[in-house]
Amino acid sequence: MSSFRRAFLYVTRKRTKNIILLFIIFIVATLALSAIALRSAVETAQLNVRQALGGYFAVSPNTEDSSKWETPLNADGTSGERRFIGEMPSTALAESISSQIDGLSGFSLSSSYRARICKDLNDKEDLSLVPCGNGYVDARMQSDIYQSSVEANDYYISFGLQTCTNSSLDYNFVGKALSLIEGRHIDASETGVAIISEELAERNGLTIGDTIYLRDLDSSLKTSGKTEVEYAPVSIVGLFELHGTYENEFSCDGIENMIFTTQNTLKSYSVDSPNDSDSYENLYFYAEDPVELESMAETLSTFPQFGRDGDFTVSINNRSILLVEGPLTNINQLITILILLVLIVGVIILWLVLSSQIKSRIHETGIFLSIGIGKANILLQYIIEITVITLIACTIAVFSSNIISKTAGNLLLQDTIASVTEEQDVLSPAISQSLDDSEEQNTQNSNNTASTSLLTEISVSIQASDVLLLFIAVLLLAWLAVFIASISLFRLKPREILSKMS
Amino acid sequence: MSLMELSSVSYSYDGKKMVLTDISAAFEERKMYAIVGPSGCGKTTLLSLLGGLDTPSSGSVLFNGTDIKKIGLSAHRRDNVSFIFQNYNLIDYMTPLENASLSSAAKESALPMLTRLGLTQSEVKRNVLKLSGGQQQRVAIARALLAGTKVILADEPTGNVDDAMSEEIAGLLKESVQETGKCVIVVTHSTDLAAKADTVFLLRNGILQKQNM
Repeated sequence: MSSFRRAFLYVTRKRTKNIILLFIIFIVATLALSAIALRSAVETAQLNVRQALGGYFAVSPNTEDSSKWETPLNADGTSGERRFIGEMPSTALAESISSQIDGLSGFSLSSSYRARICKDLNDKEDLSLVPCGNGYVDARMQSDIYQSSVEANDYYISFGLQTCTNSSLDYNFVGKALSLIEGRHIDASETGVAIISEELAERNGLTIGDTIYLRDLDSSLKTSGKTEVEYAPVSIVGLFELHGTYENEFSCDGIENMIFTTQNTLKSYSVDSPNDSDSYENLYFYAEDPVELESMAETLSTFPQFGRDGDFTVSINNRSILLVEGPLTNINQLITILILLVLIVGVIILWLVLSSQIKSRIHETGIFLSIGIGKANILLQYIIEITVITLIACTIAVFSSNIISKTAGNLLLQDTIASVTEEQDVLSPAISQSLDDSEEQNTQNSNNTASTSLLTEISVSIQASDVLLLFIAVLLLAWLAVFIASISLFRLKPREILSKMS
Repeated sequence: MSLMELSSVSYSYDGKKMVLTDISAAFEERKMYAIVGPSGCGKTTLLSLLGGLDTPSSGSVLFNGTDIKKIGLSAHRRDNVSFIFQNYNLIDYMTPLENASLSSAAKESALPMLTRLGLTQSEVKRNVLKLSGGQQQRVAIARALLAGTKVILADEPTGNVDDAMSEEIAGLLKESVQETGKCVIVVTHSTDLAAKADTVFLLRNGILQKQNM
């Protein structure tokens, strides 16, 4: 009779003992597979959250170097405003850096300006700002004070202008502070296009396809010596909405009143336009995995153009990552410990039970030996038995672990969201100090909604690779347990076994 | 050349006191041998050595002139000898049919053999523990006979059965010698069973002596 036949008879006839063994393996397999699935889901969620929250490192001109500044003369001979003449970030620089650092997912260049906007060239009435300032002088600046001193105060009725190479890669959109809800994004090759906020559009009765007209501020014109005001027609091609709440003293500084356009558009009318349209104030890089931002920035800071006396400086914004990393890493560690515990305890219990069962089969072993069935053949029978039981237990465990891992995932997730929400208020000391106020506020607000909403998207599922890994691991452990348990039995001579049987 | 031979075999459990001392004996096919002696004299041990369940402290056990260590103890137990034990020693999760087929590839011969030994069609498919002692011993005998080996080693085969069954078992063993030419070596306390043997050996004080019949 073959080992397979003997094993089959044992498994099918000795039901009570085998059910106990099956139950133990089932529990171990369920817990292990649930934990493995949960860990995979958490790792995926961590990456998703990191990617969605974004984070970037920024390349900015080195304005600390005094040799890169000059004070021009105005047309009337007076000293003008001191201006920076050092090298500015450009697309060429961005592409050069991208080719030297692995793991970057994209870059974006942008500059900030101001503009006054009207929608009718007949009356040239400025667009109404979305009221979002909390300073008590804000309203006055927009009405009373403006009446008395237009030149000094047209800042307060102007709009923030952000020129960019690709609005979809602008840090505001990547970091989910803003999202495009209608229309399309813009890129550097275009002229006369803009994206405005939904609120601004609604306040001024504007929609996709409408034309607005941009012009310089009076203060800019005065500085440049230009007397004639130029109006550049710009078509609204996209509307964005804000996520989170923002605080500004003046409405004109609010992101609700920001216009996204291109350098080409600026060049078509503005005295503030740089000579080189591929020259920008800031360059932002994004990583495929934002957790690598810090190492990337460190690498970049060793390049010749960077550093204290270089043309550029590097700053990093990974605050959002740091805030959520802790709670998610804690879950990951917890699950890893759980997996190890389950396997270790499971193996010990399995070994104890198998050891006891095999020793109780001394009678059967003696009989087999006495009729000439070899020890290897008998061991093979035991291994076939445990293999069959393990395969059945693991198959059932796939279904049970699916339910358990989803339930456990949801419970852990609720706890994590609470942790992340609490930590949102705590600023990490590792954050770069180079961020300006608007970037800082935008980032913080995007975190409040993006991180927790993204965490609710964790999906726990059992992967085929996890099942295969489990099968192999539990099987090997079971075989090892059988082998170890059989050692003491097979060290006895057949006669000694038969004596024990007697 | 004898079928089985003990050549100056000595054995000690603990390396000090010899249980068997310089035993030499030959066993031929188509003969039944009985080994008798007082309890604890080493009869079962001697049978174990013949069956390759243990190895002598000195001397050798030969099968067809070859030391069974060279044949391989496991191979010797598989191909050359079959055991019948006092306690039947059947596998408790197998039926009589499956037990009898353990050492035989031909399941077809198991059923006729069991039937010949008095088991019914339903009894051969029942769990072996549900049979009587006598029936279980018949299954054990069937297993030994079906193994196809030349030597049957029986250790107190009638020890746990009644007189009628003892008589039957003795007859079966004798039959196997006469019909199939096997060599049967029986360890027994039963004088009736010993009387049926062709040769009786007395084991006493570690010495094996052939008895005059």
